[in-house]
Amino acid sequence: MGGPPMHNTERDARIARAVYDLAHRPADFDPLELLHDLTSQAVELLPVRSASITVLDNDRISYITASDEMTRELTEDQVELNEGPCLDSARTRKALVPTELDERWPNFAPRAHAAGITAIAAVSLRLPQMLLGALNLLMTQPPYMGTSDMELAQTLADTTGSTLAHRHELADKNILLAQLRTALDSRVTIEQAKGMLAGRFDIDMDEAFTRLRHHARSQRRKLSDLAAQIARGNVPSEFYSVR
Amino acid sequence: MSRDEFTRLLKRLRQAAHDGHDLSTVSAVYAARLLHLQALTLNLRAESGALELLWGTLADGHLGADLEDLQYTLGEGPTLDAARTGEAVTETDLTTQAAAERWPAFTAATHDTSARAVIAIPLLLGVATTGVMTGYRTTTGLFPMEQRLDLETFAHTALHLLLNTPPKALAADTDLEPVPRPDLSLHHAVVHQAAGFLSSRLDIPIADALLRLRAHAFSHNRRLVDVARDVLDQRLDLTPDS
Repeated sequence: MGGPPMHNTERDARIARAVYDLAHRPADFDPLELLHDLTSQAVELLPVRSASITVLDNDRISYITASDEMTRELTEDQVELNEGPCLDSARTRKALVPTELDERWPNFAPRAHAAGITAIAAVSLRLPQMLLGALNLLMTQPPYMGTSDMELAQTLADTTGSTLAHRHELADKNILLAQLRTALDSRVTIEQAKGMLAGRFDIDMDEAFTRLRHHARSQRRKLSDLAAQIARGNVPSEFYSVR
Repeated sequence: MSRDEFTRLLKRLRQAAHDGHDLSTVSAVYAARLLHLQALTLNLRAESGALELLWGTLADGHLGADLEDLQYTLGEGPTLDAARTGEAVTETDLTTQAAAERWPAFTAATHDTSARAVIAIPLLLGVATTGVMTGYRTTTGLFPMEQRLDLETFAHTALHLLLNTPPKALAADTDLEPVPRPDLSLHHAVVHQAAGFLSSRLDIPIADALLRLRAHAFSHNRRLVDVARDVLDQRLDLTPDS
């Protein structure tokens, strides 16, 4: 969008902040919000009018998000018309240097021109595990993005991709942690129940654990559920009949 | 020399974590030595929010178990603060008035031990505090930046190893006894047993029984695990009017 010229150092600082912002997210961040932020940062830092994200999922291309409404429409138009540089770039899985819109895309080019867009570039967005997508960059007039602009766009996309990859890892770790915590709670409860039975029937811990297991099995109950009931002071009557 | 050794340990542990091994493969005594600490402990936060001591320099004659036992008994101290705030907690001199004001009961109790400085690092997963790694030193003084960074790196790796622990190793939720893991166990198992025991004998809720155990340990200046054992062996009667 232009704006007043910046000192290099000021732009450098803005780039660094953008990368930091894309890389640091809380554990439960919204992936869609991150991708939208990627389009906003691209518009902020690059000589482009707007940006959008498309992804390729099992050879189907879909629109994900865009920096504004006009760009959402233009990106969806390409999917609907089944033609356009964003699709070509997603299908070939290659970056697309700034490309002027012409008769190669007879249906899409007129729509883009009507919106003032004359060229489009794209860099690949590597998403974890399943998807490969693209960050599409829409321009209204020359000079179009240069080599270093393309490199910056790729860096922003790569940072976003690795943040998304980390999200999966974090989600996996959170599942492991939840299992471990449940196990820990269940273990504590079982120790309490053993003590409770030992106090009630004047038996040792081994005998208490044997009875606990025996009853859980014969009643087809989970050991931890039975233990929790006992730890609340509610010893099932069957326990009193065992010798 | 020990710098290289520490680097090698970390490399080995990262590989072990990647290969799916758990924390029981790590000698706490060895790790503590390379970190220039005299005691090292790891508490995991249970679903209930309570901290449970699972790993560390816990054998008799080592500081770790006693210092965590004290905090568990007194309900205050650096490990608990780190768990609560999610931030690292350090006290570079446990003999000072400032330390005494911070944790009055805990600091006073440490004077009967050789611990003189403490650093507690929260184990963060994303933004959630999952547990705490705590290191103790028998000398006062700052924790140099390198030592802090090493401990943080080690704590991070230890968390990933801990997450590999098969739940069954802790749970005893099968027909099998918990798989014994030399350096990884529910340290306060005996305390929970004693709480259950007291609860049935005095007909009070478990939580009240645990409070009674803690109060006795505190007022008689005894280790909580020793009080628990005495209760289970019926050498100690905690009936209110006894």
